[in-house]
Amino acid sequence: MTQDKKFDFTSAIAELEEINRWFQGEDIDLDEGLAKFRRGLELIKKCKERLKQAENEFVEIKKGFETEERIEEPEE
Amino acid sequence: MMSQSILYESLRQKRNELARQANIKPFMVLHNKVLQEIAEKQPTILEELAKIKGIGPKKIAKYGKFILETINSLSSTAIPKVSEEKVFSVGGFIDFLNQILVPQRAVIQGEVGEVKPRNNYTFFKLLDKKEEAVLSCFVWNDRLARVGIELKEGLELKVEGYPKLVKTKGYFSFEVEHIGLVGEGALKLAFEALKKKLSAAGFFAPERKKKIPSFVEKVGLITSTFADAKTDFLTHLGRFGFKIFFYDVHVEGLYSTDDIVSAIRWFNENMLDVEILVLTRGGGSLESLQAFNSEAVAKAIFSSRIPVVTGIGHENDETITDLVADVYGSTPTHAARILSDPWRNIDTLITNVYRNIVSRFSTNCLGLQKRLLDTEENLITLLARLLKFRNQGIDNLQTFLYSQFQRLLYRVKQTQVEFLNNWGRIKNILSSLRNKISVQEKSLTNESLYWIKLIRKSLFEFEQKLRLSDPSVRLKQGYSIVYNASGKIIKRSTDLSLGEYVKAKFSQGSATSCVEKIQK
Repeated sequence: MTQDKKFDFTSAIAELEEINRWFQGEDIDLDEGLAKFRRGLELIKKCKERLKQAENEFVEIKKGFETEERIEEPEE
Repeated sequence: MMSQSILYESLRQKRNELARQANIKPFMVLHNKVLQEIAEKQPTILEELAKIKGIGPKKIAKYGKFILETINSLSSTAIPKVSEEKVFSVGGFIDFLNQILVPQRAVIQGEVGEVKPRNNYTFFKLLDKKEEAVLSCFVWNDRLARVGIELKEGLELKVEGYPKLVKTKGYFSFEVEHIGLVGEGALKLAFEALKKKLSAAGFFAPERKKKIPSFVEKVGLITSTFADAKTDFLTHLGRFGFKIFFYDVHVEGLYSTDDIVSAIRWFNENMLDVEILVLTRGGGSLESLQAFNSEAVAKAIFSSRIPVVTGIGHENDETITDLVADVYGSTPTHAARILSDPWRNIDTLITNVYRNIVSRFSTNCLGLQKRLLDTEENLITLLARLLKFRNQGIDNLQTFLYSQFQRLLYRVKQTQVEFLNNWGRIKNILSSLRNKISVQEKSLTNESLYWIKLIRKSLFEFEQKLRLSDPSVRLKQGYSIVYNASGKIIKRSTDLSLGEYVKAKFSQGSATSCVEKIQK
């Protein structure tokens, strides 16, 4: 289970892939590169942490019987 | 303790009756869920009843009496007995019988006989040909629609429901709540017909299928507690921090369709943050898979806002549910892999990304470092040269400065000599220019003198000529001028007339005379 509710693994991976693509580019601006590099490492750290949270959580749902009943009597 | 189901049915009947009298919906009196719990706990006093969840002081005040009466009357007589003195009213007797009949829920198999469809419900006979037995059945049409088949004579069915006497009409009826088909042939036909119908309605169209997130965390699991499918699914799901919400349903039998539909609805109404619903069960015959080939389940999946992944039966089983599902997993294991494989592979991807950006970034830094080093090197060379220069000493600097001064001085002198040389030439040009001017001046003076003389001479001559033509000069020479009376000069004798007085002007003075004779 994720501790940080704001952390969304799917979007983190998408952002990581974006950063990876950016680094494949030709001219890398050093300042931007440094910022992206830091962000990348941060995301990697978070993703790795999420991956460590291996235990599944199992919740059984207590259900109700909400079906509406009919009481009128049919006419043949 | 009496049977829970008998008590539940009895409470349900009484609750429905109360609702009918109050003209409100049964669940507004008490929820089935509450009735279920009452049937389970079987409280005999109000204090115990108050502990039941979902029943507050208001409900106890209103319905507490009826609940406890029902429980107590049933517990004293599990099956009511008629005392000999008791005289029933007709309604009372039918109520009494229904108290016994209604709890007798049963599943009955038979062949469909006569079918009488009405607007909202259908009457039909269920036949037992061997024993020549007939059961009059009643079913609401929407219940029938859930099966997705048309009731026809000769069709083999399993029905579930309860018997009852219809109070106002006095006949016996089996109230059907669940219907299932029997026999592979009929099921196959029903399957093909529903497949065709739903396909035409666009239920299987790829473009309307919902996308599932790449990394699912919250899973709604719909299957049976006892199903192998549940174990298979959970085992192969692996441990990736999934949060699984399990909703227990019948996956086989007459209740399964309703259960599954309720489960899908429940998640959509109560837990929309679940990212995916997994509907799974193990393999089975067409008959046992009926719920998964029902129109009701297909519609529930189709209208579910949460995407549905299936994992039903064996590899080759094809169900309507699989066709309509957003993602089709061929087995419970496959369904689990669909959710867990992205997690299984992501570790490698993250590591790759890590290596990649580190290498790209450091390569870039190295390039920059090299450029910095190059610049540094240049600076050092420059500095070294400066230092070398300094080391040669300040004496040298003085000599250097002196020689520079000498050079400057020489340049100045040279410029001066050049100027002087040029100055001679300029002087020559100027004096020759001056000579030319004085020559011009002289000749100009000479010429003007000549012209002045000439003009003077001619002026004199003019003056002489003019002087000669002056009349007073003529007069001095002895000439005279004759005028007539009106002053006109007389030039011809014919201009005169006899006796006319004329004036003769002389050099000095004048005389008037009379014309006596004219000679022409």
